[in-house]
Amino acid sequence: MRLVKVDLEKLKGEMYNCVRCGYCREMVYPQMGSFGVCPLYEMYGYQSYTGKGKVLIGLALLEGRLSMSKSLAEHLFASCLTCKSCTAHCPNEVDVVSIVLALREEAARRGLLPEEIRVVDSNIDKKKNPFGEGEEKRVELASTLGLPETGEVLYFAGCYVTYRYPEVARAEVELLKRAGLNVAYLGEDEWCCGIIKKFEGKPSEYRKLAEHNVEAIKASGAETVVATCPGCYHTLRDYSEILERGAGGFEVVHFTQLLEKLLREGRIKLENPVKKTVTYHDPCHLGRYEEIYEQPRSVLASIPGLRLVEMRRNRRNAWCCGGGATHYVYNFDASIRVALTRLDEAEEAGAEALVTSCPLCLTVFRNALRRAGAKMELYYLSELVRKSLG
Amino acid sequence: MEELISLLKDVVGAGNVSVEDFEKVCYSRGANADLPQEPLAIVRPRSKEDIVEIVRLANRFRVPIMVYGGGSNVVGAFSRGCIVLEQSGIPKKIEVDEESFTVTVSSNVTWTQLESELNRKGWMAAPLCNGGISATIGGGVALCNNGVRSARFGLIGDQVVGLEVILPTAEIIRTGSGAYPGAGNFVRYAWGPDLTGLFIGSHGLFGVITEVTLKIYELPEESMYLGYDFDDIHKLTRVMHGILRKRLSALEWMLAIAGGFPVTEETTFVLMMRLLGAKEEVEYARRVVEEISLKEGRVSGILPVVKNTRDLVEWSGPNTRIFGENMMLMPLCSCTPAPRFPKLAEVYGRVVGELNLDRYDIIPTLTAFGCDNVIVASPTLYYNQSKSFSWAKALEASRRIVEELADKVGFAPHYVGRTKTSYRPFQKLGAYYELVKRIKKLLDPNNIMNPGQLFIPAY
Repeated sequence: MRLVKVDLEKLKGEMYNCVRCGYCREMVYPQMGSFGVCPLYEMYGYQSYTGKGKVLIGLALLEGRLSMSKSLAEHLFASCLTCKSCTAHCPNEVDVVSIVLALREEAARRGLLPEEIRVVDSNIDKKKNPFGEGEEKRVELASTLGLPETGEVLYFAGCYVTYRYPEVARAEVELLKRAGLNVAYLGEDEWCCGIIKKFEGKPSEYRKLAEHNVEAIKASGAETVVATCPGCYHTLRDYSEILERGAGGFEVVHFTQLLEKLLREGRIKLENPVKKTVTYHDPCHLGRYEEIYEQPRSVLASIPGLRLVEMRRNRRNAWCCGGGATHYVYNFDASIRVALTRLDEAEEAGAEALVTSCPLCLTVFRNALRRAGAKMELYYLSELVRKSLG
Repeated sequence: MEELISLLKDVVGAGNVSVEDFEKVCYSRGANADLPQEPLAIVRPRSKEDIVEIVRLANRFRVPIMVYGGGSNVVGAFSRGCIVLEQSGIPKKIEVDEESFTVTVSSNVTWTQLESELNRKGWMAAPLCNGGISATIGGGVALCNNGVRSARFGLIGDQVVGLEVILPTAEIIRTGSGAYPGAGNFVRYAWGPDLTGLFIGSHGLFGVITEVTLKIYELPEESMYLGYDFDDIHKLTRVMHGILRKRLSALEWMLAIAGGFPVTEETTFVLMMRLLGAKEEVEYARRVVEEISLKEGRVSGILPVVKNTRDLVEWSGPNTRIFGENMMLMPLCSCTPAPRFPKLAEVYGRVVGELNLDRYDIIPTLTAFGCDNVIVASPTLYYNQSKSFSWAKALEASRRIVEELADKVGFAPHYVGRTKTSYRPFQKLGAYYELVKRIKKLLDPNNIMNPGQLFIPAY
């Protein structure tokens, strides 16, 4: 999915592709049985949570049978994780996320964004990150990593890793250096990728962030941008579509893609056994959005002693962690409940640890475990790889 | 109505009642062509006791009730200003009785959930509703659908052993052997007349179906897909009829597709089927099917398009994008004896031609499912949802096709709902129609259950 311009009227045709069959509620696969499609519909049980519901709301707005209201605006944030599971299971592949974003854009245009979202929005405006924290952390990370601002390969840490998981950045940069790559980092010139602006329905502000980042990346001279956060990865790949002059001149790869390649080429060797049974959680923005399913698994398979088991719902069918791009901010409790369902699946699969390659997923899972007082080891994929380095 | 809403909240809790405009929009239509009908409120009962209280309130305030299952109905079951009973809040129950080879299941369970659970235990139900993956047990029984396994087991109603129903008067009844306290649900014909049948295909007019007991069958291990093509509808029909005549125990489903419609000399036909049974049964059925198809002049054996149940459910309905952008389906399916299929194709083709449907962005298709002793022929119109002229013409064509097929072929439509109530064949039912109407008045004096379904005008 590429969002060139979010506009409800332009999505009318997309909405008319929905035949209201309800496959966005439930799906069945041979050997797998039936399973729910929408984590939030499973929790709340009203149709407005389903993809079909979003289409019916969109059409009613366009046809003048419904008006945008404060309660609808709030519901648009409460009722969708933007996890794309409904689209992945729709016989007509109706692009529900684009419809939701167009509806949110309509809400934003009328000044009806929920307070929680406005706080994050304001943080990004003022501090270029959703947490509202100062840029000194970017400077600090730059200093810790000790990387130049120019080079062939640019490491794009993203806000979550910079502000919450700097150790991930350190581990990943170490891996890249081990492979002999000349890695650069933008430091304070790295701004929020814009995913939150995009998913809260503010495409023009998203574009401004994109323009800044593209200029900064071009100035770095990088040919390859390595993003570790799946949200950043998806968004950086979107830049070339939304910017008039394009974002050409550099390639965007996800860290797991590059790592898999480096391992395959023997440029990184994993020698220390990690004796654990783990399962891999597919982040929505990496899986259903970008169809990167096999590289992370291949990386895990390279770790000696590690045993990978699959959860019942994996790859295209994976259950969202509950984070969503903005949902975690707006409806924390629901996010935690969705995450706990996923952690139960990991336990059912016989895993001692759940591994993911998304800092937001990791955050939601950590909070879910804390809330439930449950135990499950959690790892960022690169952390495990680093443990195995010779 | 504020008092009613307040009382509904007292019954089920405030979080289980929604009067939000955006929620009403989501419950205004199913997979049907009717204009949206917005409800008064959406209520999520948590138990049968909640439903009983809601039914009492509906009577007191004279507000209709519509039960919402999967929302995939194609006949316009929605009533303006009604209370929608959204069943997602009721705990789901699937109880297998290995003594009597039955399963008692709550009506909000979907057919696919039931199949998954039964398969896990080595059983299967039959048939699986063709209302799609989200179709619920209650919806399938209320409309008496056909579906996967109909070739062997007939319509859904043929497999129902008993029901639990909350009547419009708020009494709870069990039909069949379940009516005897403590006996259990194992046989449909127990004391007195078969009242189970009153609720099957009733379009929800006589009460809220809360539980259904169905026959179940051991899940056989052997399966096989067969597929053939034909250059002539008569040859295809003779093969379908010949296979149905053998009443093969391993014939799970059989689907015929016209490759292009209206039928011309260029049209080819595909016949696909799945055999499911013990090894010997499957082998016997394969031999019989091969012999009949060869004798009647199949062109070749081909690989079937459909390779599993999910494909079949999906293929046979909602993936309309294969016909173009914005296409919506309007199925007009009904049972008819197999030998009438060529005549049906001829009449349907003539009407399609006379109405110049191609000028209205409407694509007609024709398929047929084997269904026990007959076929379910499915003339289907794919119209463009984004164009009002296409939608209006499809509705006009629907009436004309159903009326002409009933008059000239002997077509017995049973998905009537709200959409087709005024069509001519249903106005000719005479004393039978009046009897059903009298029963409705007797059971539902305030006309709270799905008014406007089947009868026109609503009393």
